[in-house]
Amino acid sequence: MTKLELICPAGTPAALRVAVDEGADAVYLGFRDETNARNFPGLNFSVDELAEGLDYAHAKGAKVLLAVNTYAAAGRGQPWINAVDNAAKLNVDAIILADIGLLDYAARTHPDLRLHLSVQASASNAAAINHYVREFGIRRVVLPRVLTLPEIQDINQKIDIETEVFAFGGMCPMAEGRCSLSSYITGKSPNMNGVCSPASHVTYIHQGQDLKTNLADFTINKFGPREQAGYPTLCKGRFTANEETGYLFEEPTSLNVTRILPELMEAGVSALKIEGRQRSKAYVRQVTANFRKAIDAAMRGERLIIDMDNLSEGGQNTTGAYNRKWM
Amino acid sequence: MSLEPDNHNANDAFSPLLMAGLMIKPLPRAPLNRWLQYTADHIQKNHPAILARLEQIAGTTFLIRPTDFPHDFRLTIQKNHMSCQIEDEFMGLADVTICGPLLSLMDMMDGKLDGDALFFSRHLTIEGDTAALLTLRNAVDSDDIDLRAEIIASFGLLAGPAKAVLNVGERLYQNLSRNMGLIGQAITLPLSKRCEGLEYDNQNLRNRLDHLDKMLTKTQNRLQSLSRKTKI
Repeated sequence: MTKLELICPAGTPAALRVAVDEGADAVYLGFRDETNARNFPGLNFSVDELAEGLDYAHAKGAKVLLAVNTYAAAGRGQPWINAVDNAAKLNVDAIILADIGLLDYAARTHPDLRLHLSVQASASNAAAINHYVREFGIRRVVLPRVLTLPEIQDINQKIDIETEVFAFGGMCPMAEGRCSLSSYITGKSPNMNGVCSPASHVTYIHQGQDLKTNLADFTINKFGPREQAGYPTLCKGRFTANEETGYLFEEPTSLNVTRILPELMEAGVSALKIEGRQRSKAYVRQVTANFRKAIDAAMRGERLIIDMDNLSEGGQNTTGAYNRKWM
Repeated sequence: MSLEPDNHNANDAFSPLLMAGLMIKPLPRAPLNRWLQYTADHIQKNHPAILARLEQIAGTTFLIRPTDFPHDFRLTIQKNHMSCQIEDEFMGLADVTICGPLLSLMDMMDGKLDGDALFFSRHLTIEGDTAALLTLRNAVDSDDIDLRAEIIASFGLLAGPAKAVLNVGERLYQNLSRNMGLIGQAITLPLSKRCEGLEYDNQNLRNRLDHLDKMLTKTQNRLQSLSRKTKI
C-alpha cells in the first residue's frame, strides 16, 4: 500500500504558508499570468514570491510544484518558455505541464527538472500515459476526474509512474482539457486562458430574496431564499427543457474523498490533490488540516470521514466519478 | 477554529454591534473618518504587497454595507493608495457592493473565514463588478493581516488602553450576543412558529397543485389519444 502525499493549493504567498504549516506534503501554485489554469485577478505568484515560497516550504520539509498547465498561444509562446526556465532556475520540486510542445522543451532543455503531467492533458488511459513517459520522461500523472476506482487501479497496474488524483474541491464533471463550455459563451476557457467562467463575465443579481447568477448575460441559475448558492458555470447551470427545470449535467457540489481514502490507496494512488487555488487561505487551512488527519488515520488503517459541507459549493459533497453509478 | 459563519449570528442584525453602532451614529463624521483613514494607512504601510496586487483595479469604489451596523463604508482603490470613509449619501454609486455581518466581514479580511463559503451560505451578498471584488479579496488574502492588531496600533500612544478596551469590548460582545440572542428569540418565536405553519400549509398546497397539474396533463394526453383514434 502506498503512502499518500497531500498536495495543497496556494493561490497566494499567505496560502502557501498556511498549507505548509497545516501539514501539506507539497503545495502547487502558478505564476501571475495566463501560463496557469487559475489566472484570476489578484491571484498567483511573481518570480520573487515563488523564490520566497520555496525557501519557506523547503525549510519545513514541504515541496513546491509549479503549474504551467495552459496551452501555449500560437505565435506568442514566450511567457510559457519563461515560466519553464524560471522553474528550472529556482529549482522547483516539479513542474506540472499539459502542452506537448512545452513538455518537449522542458525535457530537452532542463533534463533534471521533474515533470508532472497536468490533468489538463487529459491522459485517461495507460497507453496515453506511457507515451508521455517514453517521450518526455514524466514522473507523475494527474488523472482526470472522470475515472472510476477500478479504472484507476487498472491504469496503475499498467504504468510505472506515480498517479495523483483530485480529492477535494470544485467538481469538474467534464474531461479536463477537452471542455469548451466556458469559451462557448465567454470566449475564454481554462485550456487557453486559464479561466473557467471568468469573473469579468459574472454578475450576481438580487431579486427580492432570490439570487440570480449570470454568465455573459445568460442566466445560469436562480437560487431561492433558503438555497445554498453556487458559481455560474455552465456545467452546473439549471435549465428548462421540455417544460421541466433542473440540473442537466451536474448540480452545485464539491468533491470529497475522505470516505474512500483506503480504496484510493488500494488502487495504487500516490498523491491527493486539493482543488482551490482561487479560494481563501481560510479554506486552505481547514481543508489541509482535515485531510492531514484523514490521511494519517488511513495510514493507521482507520477511516475518518470529514464532511466540510460548509466550504462546498451548493453546501454538499460527492465522491464523483470514483464511485460512479450512472454507467 | 470553526469556519461556520453562524459564529457571529451571521444573519442576525439584532446584535450588540447594532446597539454600539447606534450609540456612535450621532458622533461627528470627521474624526471617525480620520481614524478610519489612519487605520487604512497603517495597513497599507505594513502590507505593501497588497497594493501591488490592487493596481489593476485603481479607480474602483467598494461600498461595504454591514447588515448589523448603522454605518456603511466606502473603500476607494487608487494607484498606490486606498482610502476608507463612512459612506455619505452624496458620494454616488459604487462599482461593487458587499453586504454581510460586520464581524464576518472583518474575519474574512483577517483570513479566518472563507468568503466563498459565506457566499454559498448566503451570509454574504455581492453586486457589481465581480472581477474587481475578486481582485480585492485575493489581494487582501495574499498577506497576513491581523485587523484587530492594526486597529489597536492605529491608536498610537493610546494603543495599550485601546487594546484593553477592545478585549473588554469583545468579552462584553460575547455576553451581550448570548443575551440579545435570547431576547431576539423571545420576540420572534411566536412569529417564527406562525411562519413555519404557513410554510407547511404552502408546501401542502404546492404539492396538491403539482399533483393536479400532472393529472391534468395525463387527462389531456388521454383525450388527445382518444381524439386521434376517433378520427382514424
